[in-house]
Amino acid sequence: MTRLALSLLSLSLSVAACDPALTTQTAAPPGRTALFEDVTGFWGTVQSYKLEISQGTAIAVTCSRGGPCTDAALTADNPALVDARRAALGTLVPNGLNGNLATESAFVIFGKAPGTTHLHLHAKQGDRDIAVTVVAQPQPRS
Amino acid sequence: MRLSLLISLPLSACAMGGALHQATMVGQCAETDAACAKRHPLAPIAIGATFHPEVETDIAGTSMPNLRLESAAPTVIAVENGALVAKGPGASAVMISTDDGSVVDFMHVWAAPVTAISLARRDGERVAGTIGLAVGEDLALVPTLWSGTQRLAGDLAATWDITGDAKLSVLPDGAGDRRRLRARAPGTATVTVAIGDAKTQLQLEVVP
Repeated sequence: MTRLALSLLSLSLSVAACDPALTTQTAAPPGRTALFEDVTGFWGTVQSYKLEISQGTAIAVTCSRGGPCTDAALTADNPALVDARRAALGTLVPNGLNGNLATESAFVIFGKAPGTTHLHLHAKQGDRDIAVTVVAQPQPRS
Repeated sequence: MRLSLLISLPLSACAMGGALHQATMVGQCAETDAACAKRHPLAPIAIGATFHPEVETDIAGTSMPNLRLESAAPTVIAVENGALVAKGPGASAVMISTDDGSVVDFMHVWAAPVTAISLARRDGERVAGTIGLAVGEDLALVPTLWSGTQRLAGDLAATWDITGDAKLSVLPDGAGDRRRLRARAPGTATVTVAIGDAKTQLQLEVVP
């Protein structure tokens, strides 16, 4: 029984560790938030991601797992709150272990209205969830 | 320390463009129009004003694709007929995308209310006080918009009003909010330019 549990734990860890990694590429503008964080499990492996972003703010994230993600799509549960577009980055990154290169896979995520929702990444290399909180724009000081 | 300085210099040189360093967005201004407030670097757009952007990309191995703009927060910055229109205070990311929706770059564009106006000649020189004109002479003036100490960008319709005993004509010249004043008869006059609650005045003395 213990052996089965350990096997299942090991399997779940290896599966989680092999899903694509998302990495922030741009900074938030002054006075705005774009905080992209890992949500890790007991062993420190990334289980999912969370993003706090200001309304009207955009960030770019890249998707990779041993190379750029392929057939990747990022969809929003509620596109009225947050949305994403595929980004066309003209940069090459290592792809595989043989020194080859491939065009980077990236998305631009932008907050549209305050609220909480989820984004879902689906790629050939695996899936990822992003819990998103969109915060309102700060009011200018009078 | 030296290494970090060497790295920071080329990065700061690229800071005028989009967040992905693949595109730039500036105002559509003539090379000779020094008074054009819509030049590089892109200033906040005055609320209510329209900004006509000129977008260029610099991506290795390709000429510029057909591009379109999309705003993340249309209540702050809206995209109308290819131009940016400031709707409310704040900032909004403006995505620069290809026809298939792939984002080539994006830039956060700010909007702010007009709190003051100044006037400038076409060469950008600020004018104030009293200006003398001979009958038949022209003076081109451009309202410059401010939010506190920050100069604003965009075209915003201003009201032009002339009082006094001098005869002057206010002529639109087809370039945004710029006006040409033509002196027609001697005397003195006050030109008042207003946008909402913000206004400025200029004294004119017309001589034969």
